[in-house]
Amino acid sequence: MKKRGISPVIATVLLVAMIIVVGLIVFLWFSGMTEETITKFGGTNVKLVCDDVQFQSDYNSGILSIVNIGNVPVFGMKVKIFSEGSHETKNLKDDLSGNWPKLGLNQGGAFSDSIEFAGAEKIVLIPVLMGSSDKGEKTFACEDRYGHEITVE
Amino acid sequence: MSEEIKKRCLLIFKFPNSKKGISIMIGYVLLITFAIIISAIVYQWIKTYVPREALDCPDGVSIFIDEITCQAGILNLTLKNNGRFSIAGYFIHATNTSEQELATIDLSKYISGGGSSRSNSVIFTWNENSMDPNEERKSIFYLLTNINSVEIIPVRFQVQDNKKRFVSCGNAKTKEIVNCVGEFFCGDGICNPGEDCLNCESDCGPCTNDCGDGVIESPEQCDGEELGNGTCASVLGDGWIGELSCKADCTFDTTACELEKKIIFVSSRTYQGDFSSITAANTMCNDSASEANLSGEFKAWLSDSSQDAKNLILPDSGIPFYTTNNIIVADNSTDLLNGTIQNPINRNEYGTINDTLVWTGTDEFGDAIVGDNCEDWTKDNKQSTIGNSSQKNAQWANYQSVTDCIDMRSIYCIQIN
Repeated sequence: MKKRGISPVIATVLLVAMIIVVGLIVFLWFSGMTEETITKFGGTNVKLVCDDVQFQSDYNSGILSIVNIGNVPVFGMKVKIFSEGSHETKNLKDDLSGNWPKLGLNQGGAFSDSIEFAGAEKIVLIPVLMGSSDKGEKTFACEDRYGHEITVE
Repeated sequence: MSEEIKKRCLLIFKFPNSKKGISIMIGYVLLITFAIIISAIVYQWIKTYVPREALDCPDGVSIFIDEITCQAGILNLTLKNNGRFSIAGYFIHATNTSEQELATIDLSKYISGGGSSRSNSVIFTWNENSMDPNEERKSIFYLLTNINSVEIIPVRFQVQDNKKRFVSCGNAKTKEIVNCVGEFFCGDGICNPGEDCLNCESDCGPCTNDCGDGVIESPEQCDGEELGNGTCASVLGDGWIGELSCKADCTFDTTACELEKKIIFVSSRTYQGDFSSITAANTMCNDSASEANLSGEFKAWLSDSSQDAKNLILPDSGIPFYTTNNIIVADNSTDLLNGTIQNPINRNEYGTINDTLVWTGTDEFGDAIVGDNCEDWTKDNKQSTIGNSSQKNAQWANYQSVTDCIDMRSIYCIQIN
């Protein structure tokens, strides 16, 4: 009895074709899962730049004050408002104040405006940075741990 | 039939007497190719996570408010550099009530002496750390607002990645309480700007009524041919030239004064990035200017491995830069080199709008970007920095780096004489 199978050449061609197709599928699947990389200052991931943001903030007599004392321009500010066990997030520039500078707070930039946080117990100010990605300029909100917590009296 | 196929296959791949050779070879090639591709993808992704040295001040930077006084809206500030490093100037913010904890009122715009206002800061000399350790500097501010305290953050110029950077030293912030009524008022004992014998005799003294006698007496600014030391510049400010004269009511006549200015335009013609040299680009600029009947000498706003564009306009003559349709771009060279401009340079030599991409090889501070200039403007297959003429932020000069020096783009031309 003679055992016969496909020839080594056909097997190799099939193997190569399968690897290419499977590799392509895995690549497309994986690239869809990974988030878009946003960089700042010539290629540093914006997540790392959040470490270098330095700003001071204060809320007193209904006036919110923020000063950028560092060297990273702060494009915007996310405000997390905590009240009665829940919280909502607002954008300082679009939702709360018309005084926020159009291009954000550059080095030494200061912001001050009368803002009412009715019923709020505390707020957390989270910096938003402007970075670059393959699709152009993009904003990036730093993680909550970079935020400043202010108790609202 | 089977023997026939086998022979043909062995002939094709030239591995006689081996059934395994083909698969192993191709296996290795595939494995190495995959390893290289995956390594490249992982490298591209992971390199953005490599931390870079943060732009930060050295620990030894320190400044202290030696003396601060305020009278009739005039704030006198004496600062002492008590640190180990020279500084270039400072950010100054104020509060206007004692309840306000954080100072947010920018006082740099009120500076009158002992520095100039640049990018929300007070700078002693642009681009230099001119205040050395142990040195004292005085600054004067004419305030138009009441203040309760001031906060000062020193600033420095530092070189990082071969570029001079403007650095805020937030950790060296200092604060001082000062109560200052930021308003001039008649009766404060000082003849303040805007006051004269007519509206404030108690501070400026009584008026005399002898206009036309050829002698300048208060409150006369001039009298006949007698102009005192008045010039267009002394009356209207730096940069004004022309002939000042005197009106019949003994006030200055400035109708013959004109603002001295320099023109900057974006060329209507476009060029590939391999136009050979900056000298050739200068010729292109002057040709464009001549065709549009613009007088003066123009040079191209370009950098290469041997020169920075900023040196075209340094030292600062103080003359402002305007577009060809008379829109201000910058108050002076220092203003042009501070990273942003007041209005986009989007007019060509004929005064027509031209929002386009522009060869620069230069960052927003006028410094060359190393290796980003189509290899000294000689190669069409290299990369270069380009500007965007529709922008007035840093992108006016430093929009992005492109690898297509073969493309046709405009150049900025700036009047130097």
